[in-house]
Amino acid sequence: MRLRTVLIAATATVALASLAPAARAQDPGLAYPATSEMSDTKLGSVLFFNLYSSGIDPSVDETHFAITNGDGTNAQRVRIFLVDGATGSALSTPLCLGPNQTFGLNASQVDPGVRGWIIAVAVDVNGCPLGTEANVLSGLAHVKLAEGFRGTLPAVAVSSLFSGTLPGCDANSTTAALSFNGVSFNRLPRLASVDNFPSRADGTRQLLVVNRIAGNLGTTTSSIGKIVGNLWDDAESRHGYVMLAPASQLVAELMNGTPVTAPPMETVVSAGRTGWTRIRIFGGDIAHLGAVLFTPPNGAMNLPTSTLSAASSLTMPVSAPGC
Amino acid sequence: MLKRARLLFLLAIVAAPKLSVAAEPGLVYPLASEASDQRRGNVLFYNLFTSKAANPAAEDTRLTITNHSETSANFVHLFFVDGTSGLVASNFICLTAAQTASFRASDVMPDFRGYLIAVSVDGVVGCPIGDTFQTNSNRLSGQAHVKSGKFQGTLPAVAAAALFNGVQPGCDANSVTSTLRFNGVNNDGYTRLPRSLGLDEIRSRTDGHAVLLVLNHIAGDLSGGLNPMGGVSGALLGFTGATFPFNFNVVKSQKFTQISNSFPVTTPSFTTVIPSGTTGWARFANTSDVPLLGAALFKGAGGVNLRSRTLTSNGTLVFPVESPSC
Repeated sequence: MRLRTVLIAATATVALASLAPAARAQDPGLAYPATSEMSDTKLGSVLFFNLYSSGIDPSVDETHFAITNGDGTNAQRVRIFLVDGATGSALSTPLCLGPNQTFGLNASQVDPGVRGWIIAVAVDVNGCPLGTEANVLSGLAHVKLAEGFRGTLPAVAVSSLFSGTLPGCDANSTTAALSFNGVSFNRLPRLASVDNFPSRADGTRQLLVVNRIAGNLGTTTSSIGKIVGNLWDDAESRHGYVMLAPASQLVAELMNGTPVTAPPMETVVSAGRTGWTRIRIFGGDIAHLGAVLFTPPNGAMNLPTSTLSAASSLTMPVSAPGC
Repeated sequence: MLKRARLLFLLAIVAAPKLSVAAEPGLVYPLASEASDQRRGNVLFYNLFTSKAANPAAEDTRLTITNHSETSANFVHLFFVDGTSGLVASNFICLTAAQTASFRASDVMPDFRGYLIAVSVDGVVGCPIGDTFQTNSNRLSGQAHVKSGKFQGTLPAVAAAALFNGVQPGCDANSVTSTLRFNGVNNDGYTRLPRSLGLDEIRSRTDGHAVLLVLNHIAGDLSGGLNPMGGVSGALLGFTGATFPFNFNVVKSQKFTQISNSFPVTTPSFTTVIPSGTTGWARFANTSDVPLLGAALFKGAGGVNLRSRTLTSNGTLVFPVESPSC
């Protein structure tokens, strides 16, 4: 566990101290089913922020991220893990949100000089993952990168599918398994796509972000290894490729050589043309999440899902959030 | 009045591809999963397009659409909804297997602002089609890359999936119109749409931040015009969670405005609810039981579709049945 934990914990305590009287108004309409697959347009008990970055100069490389408790009645305890995309090690901190409360902060305040991804998990008083009653969290990240990209990435929300506390987790537990298997939590993507991108020859650039969601948040998360994909031009010709990705996060600008295609990418997607690509992690049934940033115009989006995996699991340390 | 233009998009449907048919590894994404901008579908909602013909460098939108099927072409009926009048300009785009396409709003709808609905149809009659073959399910996806002055961002299209196989039940060669029902009913309609929405975070305007809000009313007649939005209720929530309700009425089918002290009207006003150094959030719902879609663009920081908080099964759109012109 990295050392900067204390700082963000102190920040979170400030938010906790200002709990507000709850509004009890309910949204009109039908309840959103927890079984609907993970999405960045729903609420959940687990949030994935696909990218945070904080460079040497926060005026050009910074991320502001926010987490909102959409429940007007109940406070929520949240355990946040900031995963270093290069090493896979995670910084952990609790965050306590009153009813309807939102909390935002800059990555440079809590994890300067690091680029990676964030997972936020709703937990109970012991730090065990919570069930369907905690499917009320949402969030977003405003990302600004030294490479010249900027955009807003909504957090991908995953719903709990059980009630109460995660079965098997209690005050004596030191770890808990987050199983994204469609039984405990929603499943995660196995195959995803960048649906359309124009040619670099037309002055546009795209930055691909891929995160492997596996491993142990108390030690290190798993490395990606290899990404396999297909690139199509706008005349539906397909070109296969393999990319090496030795860390838990890949951040790579799409260009000649990244990935290596035959012919090169900028020949496949030549001036005035567009292409698209579909990716997965090589080596079996492995889940991932990802995003793509565009410029110009500036923008970002999480990758759309093509197919799902029920095999992803993350081990998280269990410790009382203290609120 | 908008002209109903056709034949603008004639892509290479005649160039039959010779593709290998590779199964996608992984578990099939369930059709019944609710509408989302991270899934593929048979109906796409692009929450915003805008363009200024005189200055597309400052205001324009690049719209994209991709057919994920590696084996089948996809015929798509496009409806550009003028956000002011609700009037509709329609068109077709025909995509070969695994084809992607893009076009600029300044080329096809210059000087208009609104939202785009794309409906997958059969290639002969033009009836809405669904999951003909399991491997071809959830075929379409799309994006809108929006530039509007100091606001710019990427808004992926919100996709709804058809819950019927083949041609929509009740639609045939004699049909003049059909009804798209976003009711979540198998063998009848499409996945449901949001009734209430959340905007996850709003930073203080006093600190130089600005948020451009887009709300779209999804009800009416795609052959005639979309209905005005009508009443919207919601709340602005300060960083402590304190709630400040508001109501407003929209006589257009799209609300497009910055969040400020004058909109939405709250007591106290916006910059008091979210003062310098703090953040808040907001939620919105149509006062009628009809779908509401929306997005937000952040000054200098991108954009997002608004998050669905609850759903409605009452969404309907009257749909003109016309043979694809490609």
